[in-house]
Amino acid sequence: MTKLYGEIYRKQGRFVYARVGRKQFMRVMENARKKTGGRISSISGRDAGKSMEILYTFITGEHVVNIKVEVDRRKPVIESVSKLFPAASLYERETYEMLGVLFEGNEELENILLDSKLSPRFPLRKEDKHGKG
Amino acid sequence: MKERLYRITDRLVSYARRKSPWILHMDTGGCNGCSIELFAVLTPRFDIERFGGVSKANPRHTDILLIDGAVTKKIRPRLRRIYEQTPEPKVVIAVGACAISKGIFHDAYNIDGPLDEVMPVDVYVPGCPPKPEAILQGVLKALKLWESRYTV
Repeated sequence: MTKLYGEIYRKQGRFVYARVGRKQFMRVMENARKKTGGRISSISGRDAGKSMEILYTFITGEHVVNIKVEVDRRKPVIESVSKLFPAASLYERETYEMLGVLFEGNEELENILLDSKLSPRFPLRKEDKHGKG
Repeated sequence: MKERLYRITDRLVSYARRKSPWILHMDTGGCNGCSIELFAVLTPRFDIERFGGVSKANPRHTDILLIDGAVTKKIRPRLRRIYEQTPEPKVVIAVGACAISKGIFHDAYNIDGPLDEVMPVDVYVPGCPPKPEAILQGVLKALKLWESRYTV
C-alpha cells in the first residue's frame, strides 16, 4: 500500500493518511484508481501559512485514504483529477473559489457557492480580512 | 341598497381572510436552527393550523412571509422578488437574530444587510433560535396587524 498512496505517515484502522509530492501526484491518483477502483469522496484545501495543502479523500472498499499535496503559496497550481473522477470537478471549483488554487485541466473552473460580487477575493486565505465584513 | 351589499361582501371577505392566513416560509441561507423551530410551529404540538395557517410554497398564494436566516449576497435579489410577488395585504415577520441584525454572522464575507434593508418588516421575533411559542406569538401579533390592513 505504500507504493500505491505515496508516503503514509499515519494509519489507524480503516483510515490512512498519506503525503504525496506534487510531481508524483497525478501518477498516484491514476494508479490508485486503476488498482482499487475507489472514488474521490471530497477535495478540500487549507492555507497552512508557508504553503497550501490540498487534501484528497479517496475511498476504497476497505480504506479511507487522505492524500495531502502541498503547493506553493504564491502560485497555487495543481493538475485537475476531473478527467479521472468527473465528480471531483465540483470540489475543485469550491477549493478554487475559497483559496484561489488553479486546477489545470478543469474546464468549468468558476465560482460554485460564492456570489460573483465577491469575485477577486479568496475568503479562506489567511490574509483575507473577513472579520471586517 | 348597493352600499349595504358592498358592506356585507366586505365583511364576508374580511372574515374569510381572518380565518385563513397562508404562510410562506423562506430560509435565506442561515444555519437552519430557526427553520427547525418553525417547522415545530407547523406541527400539531404548537399548531399554527388551528388559526387557519397553511404553509404554501408559492409567494403568490400567501399572505404572511416568515423569513429566517441571515440574508446572503446571493439570495438578496431573489428575496426582493419574492416580496414583490406576494399580493397585498401582506405582513412580513423576521425570525431569529440573523434576520433582525445579521446575528452571529455579522462580519462574515458572504452576508448582506439584515432583512429590513431588503423589505419592510412588521414583526421581529428575536432569539437564536426563538422558541416555537415565541414564533407563534409573533405570528399572532402579525395577524392582528394584518387584520387592520384588510378591513375597510
